[in-house]
Amino acid sequence: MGKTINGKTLLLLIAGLFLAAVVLPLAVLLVGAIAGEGSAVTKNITSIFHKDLVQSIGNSLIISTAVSVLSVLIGCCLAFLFVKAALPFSTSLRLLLLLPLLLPSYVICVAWNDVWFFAGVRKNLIYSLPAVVFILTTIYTPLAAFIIQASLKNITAGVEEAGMMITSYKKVFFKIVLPLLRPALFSSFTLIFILSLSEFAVPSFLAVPVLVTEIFTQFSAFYNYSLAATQSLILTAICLLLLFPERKYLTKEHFFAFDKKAFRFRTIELRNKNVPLILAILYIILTVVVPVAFLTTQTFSRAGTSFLEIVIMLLPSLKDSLLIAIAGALIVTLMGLIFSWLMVQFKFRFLQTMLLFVFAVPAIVTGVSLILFYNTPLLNFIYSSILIILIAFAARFLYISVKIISDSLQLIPVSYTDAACVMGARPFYIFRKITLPLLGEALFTSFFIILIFCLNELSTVIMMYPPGTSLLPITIFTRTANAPQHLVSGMSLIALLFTIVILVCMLFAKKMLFNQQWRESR
Amino acid sequence: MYAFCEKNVIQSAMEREPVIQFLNCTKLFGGKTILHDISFEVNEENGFTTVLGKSGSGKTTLLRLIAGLEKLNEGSIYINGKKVSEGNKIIVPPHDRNIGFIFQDLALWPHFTVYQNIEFGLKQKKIQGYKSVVMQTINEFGITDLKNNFTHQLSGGQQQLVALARSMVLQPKLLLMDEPLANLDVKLKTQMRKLIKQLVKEKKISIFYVTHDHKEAMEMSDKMIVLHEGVIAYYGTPEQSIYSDNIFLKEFIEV
Repeated sequence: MGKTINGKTLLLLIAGLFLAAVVLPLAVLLVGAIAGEGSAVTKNITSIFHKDLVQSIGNSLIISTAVSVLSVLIGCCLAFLFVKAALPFSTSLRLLLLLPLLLPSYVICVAWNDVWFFAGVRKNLIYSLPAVVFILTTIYTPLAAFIIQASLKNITAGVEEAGMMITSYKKVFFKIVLPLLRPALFSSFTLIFILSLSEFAVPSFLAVPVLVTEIFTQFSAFYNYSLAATQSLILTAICLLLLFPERKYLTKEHFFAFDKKAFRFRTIELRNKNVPLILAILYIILTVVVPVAFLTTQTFSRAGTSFLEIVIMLLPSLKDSLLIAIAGALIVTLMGLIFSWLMVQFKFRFLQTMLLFVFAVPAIVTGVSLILFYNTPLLNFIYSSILIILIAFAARFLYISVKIISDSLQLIPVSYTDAACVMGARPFYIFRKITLPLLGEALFTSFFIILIFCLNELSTVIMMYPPGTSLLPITIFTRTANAPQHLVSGMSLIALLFTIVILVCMLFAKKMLFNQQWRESR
Repeated sequence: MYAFCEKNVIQSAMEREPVIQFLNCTKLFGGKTILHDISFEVNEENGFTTVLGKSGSGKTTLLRLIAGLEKLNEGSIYINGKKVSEGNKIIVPPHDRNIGFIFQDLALWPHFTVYQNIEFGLKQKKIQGYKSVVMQTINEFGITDLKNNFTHQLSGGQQQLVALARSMVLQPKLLLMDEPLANLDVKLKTQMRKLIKQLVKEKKISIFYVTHDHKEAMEMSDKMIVLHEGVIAYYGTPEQSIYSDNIFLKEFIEV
């Protein structure tokens, strides 16, 4: 009965203004790059075929394809072992596996650098394309595993059991379970492809030229905005081309629906659990424990700046980063709630398509578009303040927030609000007393995930951070070029500990906030 | 097919105030006709009217139209002589119709205790001394021991009692029930049927009860409405239905 809410127009207005703040700059950049005789594409038509740019595009595509394929393959195996085979300690292992996804990519990159230097790996192997693929695969495998796990949990036992009456489980797996997982496999492949194509920190740190670093160089070093716009267009076109056939799966897949579970779930008994358990533990040791251990060793093994001094040095960045990330997470979650409400209650499906488009645009392109749009006398108040960073965060992460919240909103039976409506409650009262408490966990999850993402975001903010603000990813990244190795490792270790402390605090807060008895049934 | 002559319906409406009156009501969903030009009136105060029909025949839609949870496409609905819906306009919103609604899934709010579920309606209307009314209702329904429990901690029968108590605490004149006993075992169903009948007598309310179980309808109701593909195939007493030569009704009863 939310259809009679008087605030519908107000909500639409807020959503429209918000979309305009994010979508308009992108549209201006992309349309401006194509349209007219004096357009960026026309001016730079010869540069598009320059061998350096072709090499960068080639590197970007190789990295993204390899990372997506490897992450989905490994993620699928791990998801199967943790969910279907119910390995011992699977809950702890799953939590540990998530860590690389929640840490800043430059921290993981610095950590692997330490490992490889210690192991005496040749420099030309460290600063290479396979090294980028390796690091990004360790970062994005948890995302694939996470999405596939959620999908596996949704497969009701009856579907498998019906097949098992006819044939062996092996065949059931390949003929029934795997086809049912196809949307999850495709959506994780596409997401990881887009994210790795947008990745700035790792290729930049390992000096591998990719399209994203090329755009950054043209924009920030050579001030060649026209060429940067042309290159942005190419990068966006690749993402959107890939997104087009996958839109169906990406918009429908409930990859963040934590509460969604099949009514009856079937686990399988492996004949020998030890081998897969050892393999899973070895994978986690390799991708989580080893880099963290080396980062710690590197920090404390050399003389020079002490750990405490590094902490003091980073304090202003830690404070600024946390405050801006909290503001970003709050705004994105609030907007996520408004967009979800409009989509679910009023069936404005086009909003999701619009957000998916913004999400698919690589971070660096978003950054370029926001700077070009807001760096004008009229809108300078946005460009010169943290507002531009908050808009960038919204552009990057609003789609994720909307997915989390709208999936949960759809799970609330209409009869709950109808019952309250018949009993005399007004729409706002129903929203406050019925809908909001039932959405509480989804809102918290959205805030939590977006907070971590905002803390770690480098690709967009590196180009636009306003004077006077000192953000943690930028402070560390700018030091990597000229600071001693142990100082960079120390700062990365602090960033890692900072993220872990926030993670623990948030998990603790979640337990305190959502420990109500009524949730036990879920 | 049973249908009232429109003139007769209007005339009878002028003479007395029917509990519910539908005049040429049509409801579409996505271009598909769910209810087609139906007219009927329920005159019996404190009566028990059952709506019977196969899945997809429009039973639940009929109930939701009475409650004001759906808009009509054409026609008008009167409750106690007052026009509540006309065309695609809701004239009287659901919360002002003095109607109770028991949903098929009961719609008990999982984040509220039994007490909070029952007090919800009175509390938000800011009725003074509502707490004693809530406690009185809880006692009447024999669920005092459960008042601090969350709904998932209750059995199926106890959940039914809470849903009934939640609706009855607002003292509605009309109670709509959408297959409320569908998920109960035979023994509980019998107990609940007795309780509902007792409620009609004691509280002097009219009940509109949706079911697809024709035996249940025969046993419980004063009047039966049988829906078939969006039109009223039969309207009358259960006793008359036995002797009716309506082909659809006979088929339905045989099935």
